[in-house]
Amino acid sequence: MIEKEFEFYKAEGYTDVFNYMKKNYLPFAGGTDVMIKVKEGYLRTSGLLYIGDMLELKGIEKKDNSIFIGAAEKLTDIIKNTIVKENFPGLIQAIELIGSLQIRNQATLGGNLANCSPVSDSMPILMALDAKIHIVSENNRKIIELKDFPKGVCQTALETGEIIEKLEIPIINSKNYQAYRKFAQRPEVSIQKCSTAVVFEYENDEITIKKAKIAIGAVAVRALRCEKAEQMLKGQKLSPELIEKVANMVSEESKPISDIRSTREYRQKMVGEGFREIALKSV
Amino acid sequence: MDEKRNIIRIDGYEKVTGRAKYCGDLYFDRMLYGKILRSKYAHAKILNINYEKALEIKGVHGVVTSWDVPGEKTIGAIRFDHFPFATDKALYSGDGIAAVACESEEICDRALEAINVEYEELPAIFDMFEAMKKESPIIKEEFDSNILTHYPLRKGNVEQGFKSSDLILEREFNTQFVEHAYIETEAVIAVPGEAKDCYEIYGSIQCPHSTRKGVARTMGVPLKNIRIIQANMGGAFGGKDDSMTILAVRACVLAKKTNRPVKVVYSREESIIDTYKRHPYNLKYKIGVSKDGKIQAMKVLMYADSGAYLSMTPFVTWRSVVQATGPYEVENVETDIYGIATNNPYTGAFRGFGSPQIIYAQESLMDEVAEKLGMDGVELRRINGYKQGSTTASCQKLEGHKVSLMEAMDKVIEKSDYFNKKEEFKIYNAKSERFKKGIGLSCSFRGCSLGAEGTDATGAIVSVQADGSIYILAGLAENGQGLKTTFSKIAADVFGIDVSNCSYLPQDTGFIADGGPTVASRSTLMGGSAVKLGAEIVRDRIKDSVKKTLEASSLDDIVFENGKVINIKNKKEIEFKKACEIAYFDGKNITAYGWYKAPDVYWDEEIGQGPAYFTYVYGSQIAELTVDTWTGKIFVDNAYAAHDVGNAINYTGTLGQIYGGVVQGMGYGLFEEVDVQDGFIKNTNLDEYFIPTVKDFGNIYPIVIENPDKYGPSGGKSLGEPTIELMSSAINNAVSNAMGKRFYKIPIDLETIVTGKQLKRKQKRGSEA
Repeated sequence: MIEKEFEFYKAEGYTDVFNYMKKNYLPFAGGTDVMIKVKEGYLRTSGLLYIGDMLELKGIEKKDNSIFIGAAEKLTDIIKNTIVKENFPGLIQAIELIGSLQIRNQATLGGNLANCSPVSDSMPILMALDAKIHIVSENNRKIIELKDFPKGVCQTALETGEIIEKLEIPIINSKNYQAYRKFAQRPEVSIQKCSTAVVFEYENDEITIKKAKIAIGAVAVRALRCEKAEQMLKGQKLSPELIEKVANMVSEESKPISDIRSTREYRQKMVGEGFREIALKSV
Repeated sequence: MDEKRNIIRIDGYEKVTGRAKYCGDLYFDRMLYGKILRSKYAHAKILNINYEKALEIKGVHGVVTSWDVPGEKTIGAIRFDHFPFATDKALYSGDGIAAVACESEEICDRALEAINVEYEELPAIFDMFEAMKKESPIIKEEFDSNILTHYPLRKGNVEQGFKSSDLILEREFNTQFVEHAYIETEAVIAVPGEAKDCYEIYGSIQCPHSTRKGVARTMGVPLKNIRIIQANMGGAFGGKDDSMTILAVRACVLAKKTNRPVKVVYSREESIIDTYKRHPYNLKYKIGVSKDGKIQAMKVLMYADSGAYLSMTPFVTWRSVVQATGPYEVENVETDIYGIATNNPYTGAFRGFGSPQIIYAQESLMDEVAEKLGMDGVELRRINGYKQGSTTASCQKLEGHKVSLMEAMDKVIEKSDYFNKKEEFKIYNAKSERFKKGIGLSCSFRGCSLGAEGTDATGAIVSVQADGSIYILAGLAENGQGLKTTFSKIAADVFGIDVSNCSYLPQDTGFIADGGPTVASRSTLMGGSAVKLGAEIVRDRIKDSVKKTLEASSLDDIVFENGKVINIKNKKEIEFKKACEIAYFDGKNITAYGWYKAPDVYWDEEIGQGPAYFTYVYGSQIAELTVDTWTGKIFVDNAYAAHDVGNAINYTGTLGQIYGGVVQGMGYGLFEEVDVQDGFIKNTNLDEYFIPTVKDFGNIYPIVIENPDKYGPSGGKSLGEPTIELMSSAINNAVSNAMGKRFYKIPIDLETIVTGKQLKRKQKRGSEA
């Protein structure tokens, strides 16, 4: 229940954003996570700042071999976008599994990342896609690798006065395979027990793996890249033995706990299982 | 589906268009909002409650505790052991300590924080077996031990039976706490009446007359001073009975204190923390069979966790003892069930009422026994299953109704192609490493209505208007199950008119007699009979009035059909409307009270023998599923459900009950579990407590069997509960069929399949004890 009355302001542009953030207003776009925290009394801010309609944070465009997605783009709009669909089917797969249709109509990709929950469905696949985050503050702009963005449970690399402006995902020019596997009790309206995201980039022969990127979710305080497993796949062709070996490595690289959603044992097994499933489907 | 039998739900329009008001939608002038402060401990002495600071907050109009309850401090349907406000002790984490009435819910939250309660924590017990130890503290002072109830059943000589058995199998099963998860959470508004010490209570109340008893008792006023008006209900499944009485008492005490209407609506978290659950059972079955598959003896020992209060535990466990050996002829039976007090959330009525637990165990056991004998479970069930004239474990001869167990099994087997699928899956599974397919069956019998639990009678008013339209009001309540439509159809059929001519009046204890609770799948059977009797009284009065017009020599010649009243001898006819008008101007009372009392039943509590119920229903379900052995996912591709309903009066409603019950049964078997750790519930919302969505199952094939019963209205009997009780064992048997491995605990979650261990963590047995 809302403990106290909140001040609310709708930002019209960056000037508004930075002014109000100085007054300890919390910026939000979709509100699907923030509003629950407000209701449950977890947030200690003087007010809420709505940034969901700012043009600076909108738009999906292709430029310089990358695709840029505005932080305030709604998940449903991203799913429907043809450029995203053509280039990042793995991302679409992941976003379609977030919450329910109603949530996806309201929630934004920037918000999902900024909320930085260990059970975020967009984080692992975006990490595997080598996404970068464009951050803006009153006097500065910077770009950081998404894999360096999460710092802990709901903690990010964002510093005071900074917001996410957009996401940059490099287009993969070679043949590639992307997939996201979420493990949950239900296929719909469900928070993950754990997840595995995989991106394979192939050599010209279209079978030899030039680069493999594997990210796992909900098996640590933040989503992780499995670098050892990625290394193992480099320059290789997938074989049943290799898949088995890498699946085990992925499991070993996870550091899950047991909690209300699942057990350590199950999660550890499943992230490897997720890799195995995706790898088998890719060939 | 038979199109002619597809009738439109009479309260469908207002529900589909959103015009129907639920309790949360209601508003009264000067209304305040109430909220409950609950215990910090699972077991504690309450030393002091200081709420002066809360009263200083602007917008707080009153704080109440047990001291403010003007009458008796306790309520209870069976025994008065439940405190709506904890008086000296808190016995579980959901116990109410105090309540506040404020101008908004936000102010309520602040007020609750300002209340300071001093507790002395007491040793708590969370495990039934710990509770039964001699040295364990007694949780409920008014009982002499933590064993609250014990029902035995003795038939024949089990030792002898086991001696003459070729195979003896002993198995232990465990079931879990389950939440009703109705879509609408609990809501009540208590309104001080104009007359002295009178209150009107509006709410999402399953059994308005039961709630009235509790409120009158605690307010210290006669029953007539309390009027319970039922708002539209967003589901109950047995869960809005005594929990709603508790809430109504709390709201009413606040209304008295502030002399203003007070509305209390539980959040989902409060709903899960505060109200009762399905009983977790520990079941130990021992069965002896001869080589040819005849059951020689069964010994069943069961423990049910009652939690901190008695609630419905005696009745729930009694049904278990009557039906524990299943729909099978067994000469030698020894059954015992104990209801145990712990400091866990309390348990009570939930669709199925003591049957889903035992059927899960006994039907899983039957398949395993059959396997050991080298026969199919179906064959074993055919050998031992009830047939016409069979005798139950309590020596009741099954007669006077059609014993349709074999019919239900045959139909569900045929529809599902059970035996061919079994062969097909054997071939499939031999080839498939990851995915395994399985099919499993279960069957049951179920006593209709209350049985020997208590008085079983109910009434209904059928009021025909001068233009031929009709008001109906019955003593049993619409909780979403479709009772209004079924009752209207029963009345409409008596008058030979369309159901759309009927309107159902709001449930109000001031206008209709106490007809017992809306439970035990008794509405159609009992309430429907009362409606039919009422309608027949009015019909006969109308006949008398139109006798002259129709030139009938005998009233028996007059029939009501297709909107007309006809003299079958001379074919003279008039419109039904016209007949009503004639009766009206004839000065006839065309409103009547129908009253139906169930046939006598009897139970000897010492030895657990007697005719427990006056009639029974039979059913059988099959689950056909795929197990993903890599991830643990079990998906029920097809579910088949055959149920004898006597007569499907409301055919659409019949199908609805089957679909709903089957899916709820899947949730019970596969993933629903209230995770109680050290007396506190960990999954307090639906993001962590999983109920099935439409994406969680494949097809459901209902098979409606109709063998009219002499006691039911037009032969109709019970369906609501039988539909939920079979799926968990059908699934368990199908999983065994798929994996060649048996499980003895539900839910069979993903973790169980993959790691062999359930998700739920083992909790401490007790805090100190």
